[in-house]
Amino acid sequence: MPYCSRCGVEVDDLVLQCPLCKTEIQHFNKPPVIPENFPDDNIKANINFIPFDKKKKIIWSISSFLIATSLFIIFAVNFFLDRTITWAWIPLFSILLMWILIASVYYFYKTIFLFLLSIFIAISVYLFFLFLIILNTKLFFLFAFPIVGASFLNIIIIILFYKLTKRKGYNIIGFILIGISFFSVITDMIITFFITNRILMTWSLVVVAILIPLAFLLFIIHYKLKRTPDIKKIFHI
Amino acid sequence: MIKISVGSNNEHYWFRLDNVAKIFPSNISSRLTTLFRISATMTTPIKISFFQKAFENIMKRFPYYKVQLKTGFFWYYFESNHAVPQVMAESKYPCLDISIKKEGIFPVRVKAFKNRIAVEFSHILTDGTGAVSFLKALIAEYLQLSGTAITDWGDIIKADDVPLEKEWEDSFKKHYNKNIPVPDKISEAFHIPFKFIDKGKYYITTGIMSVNKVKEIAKSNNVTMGEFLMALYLDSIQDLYFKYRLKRKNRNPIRLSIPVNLRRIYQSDTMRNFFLIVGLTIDPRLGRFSFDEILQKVYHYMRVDINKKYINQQIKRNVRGEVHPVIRSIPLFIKNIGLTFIYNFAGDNQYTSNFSNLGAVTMPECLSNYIEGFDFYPPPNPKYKISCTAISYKDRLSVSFGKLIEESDIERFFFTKLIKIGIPVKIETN
Repeated sequence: MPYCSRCGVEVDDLVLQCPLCKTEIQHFNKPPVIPENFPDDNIKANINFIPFDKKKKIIWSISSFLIATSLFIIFAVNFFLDRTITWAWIPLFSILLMWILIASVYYFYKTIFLFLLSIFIAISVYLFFLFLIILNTKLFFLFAFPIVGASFLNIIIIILFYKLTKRKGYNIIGFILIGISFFSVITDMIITFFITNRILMTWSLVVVAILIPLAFLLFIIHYKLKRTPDIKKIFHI
Repeated sequence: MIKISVGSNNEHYWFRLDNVAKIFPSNISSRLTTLFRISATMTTPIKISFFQKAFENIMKRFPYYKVQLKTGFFWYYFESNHAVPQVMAESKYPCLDISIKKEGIFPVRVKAFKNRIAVEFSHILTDGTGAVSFLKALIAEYLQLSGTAITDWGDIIKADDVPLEKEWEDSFKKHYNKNIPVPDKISEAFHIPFKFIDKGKYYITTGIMSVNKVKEIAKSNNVTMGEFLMALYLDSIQDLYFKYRLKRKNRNPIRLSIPVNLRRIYQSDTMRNFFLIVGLTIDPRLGRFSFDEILQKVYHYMRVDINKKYINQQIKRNVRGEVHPVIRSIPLFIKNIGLTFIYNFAGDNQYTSNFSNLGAVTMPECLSNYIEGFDFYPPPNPKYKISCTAISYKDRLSVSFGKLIEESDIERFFFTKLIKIGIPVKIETN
């Protein structure tokens, strides 16, 4: 067996240098090729996690419990102090909305349009009751509902564009910028109509003037330049 | 172990960490993984399908190892892990890369490579004795599944045995005596001065030699083989101490931490941690100690200081914090800060290095010929930078150094001393 002439330790046939003092090991015969004691690659473990469905169920149960508890506490405090429900309506509705939003994630996370529809309905109903309690329902239909509707319509159009586009890159950011401009214009018009009774564009012009050219610039980069980086690669979560 | 729910094959448990384990989760890092490794080299290549099945069967027999580390509000704890344990591929650097606090991660892992079976245990879970029992059971189950008739099981735990309550007892708490004084504090020790290698690397140097030859020389010096190796290691560290020009603040006593298995002293059969560290010291500031002087020191120390009365004192010192009502009621995130502080300034800081001797591993006659030998690798430790372990099987003694530094001075001093006294040593590294 080969050994180190300095330390005197024996080593495997394939070893060329003493592991202790780095002295070269003399081989009088050509060393036979024998496999190493350890592999070079560092293969990671096969790790088992809690299944996603189980995790989801746990989060849903805990959040439902916490929300139900807080609903009960708010209701009980208000009822025992005033013998009727007065100030508790707003926190009760707000917490209930939160519950519905969590439920939407829990039930519809796989179907994006059902998920958006459920959130849209929940927020609209919430705002309706809020306006009913604080102001009046006319303001809701004039003001809140169109803005909420416009924002959801906007999101749906962007998602549709995303799904229909084959090559995804800077064009997606362009769609989003156009969507933000569209939403700004609608919101601006609703607000000015509410205040002046005329359909006008005021501050949204600034938003449009900045975002639309930027969006076109992105479209040009995306469609004219052949190699654009994949958005998922850069922005993956 | 507290049973939460019992279903068909789905029993769920949780249990507290033992006293040794409590300090580790707060201090765990890429260099302090707490993983140590015991491996067996078989005479034939491992058949992975049988081995995977054997691993699954054995994990069912050791429910206190089939767990995951969880974070409580006041303490960390272990909880049943229902994931199917998987045999892992070997890696170049052992005892690294474990995310022990992650969901579903076992604090024990099993690797196979060619003829070798290796188990890597986190010290949070158990000590060397527990790991050896587990490995022996795993080997026996594997051999049985691959067609070997086992006529004599000896002390090997069978896969279909029922786990006994005494196997998961916290023996530290059982033997805690609050009415005795704690031992005196010890000073800071000399530390190995070299720079760390890159994170993600851990060098192992193993020297393989004949048990009989080492025993013969140890006997001629009136010490046991373990004591002889301890003295040799102390002497090698002393050589390093005098070879380099050390910073003034590092000129401290050389203190070797020696883990002592308490199972025999306290008649315990626990499979969880049950060992204590005793410090074997020489002070080179007084002058260079000859090897005979070191041998004498080791001989007397091991016979005088490893005494139940002194050990009781140490148990008292370690456990008193754990049972103190005020400390118990501090939230874990605050405790973590305290435990980091204790580890850095009072734990391994008091020792230069560690020498852990698992002694002779025995297998029943019908299985012994399937195994060539055992190896034992110490856990990486950034305070010690280098640690030493020994394990023997038949006439094969394996002494391993695990280090987080590039320099090989200590191993070279150690092994060349053996060669000079006439013991041939074969070196293997990763």
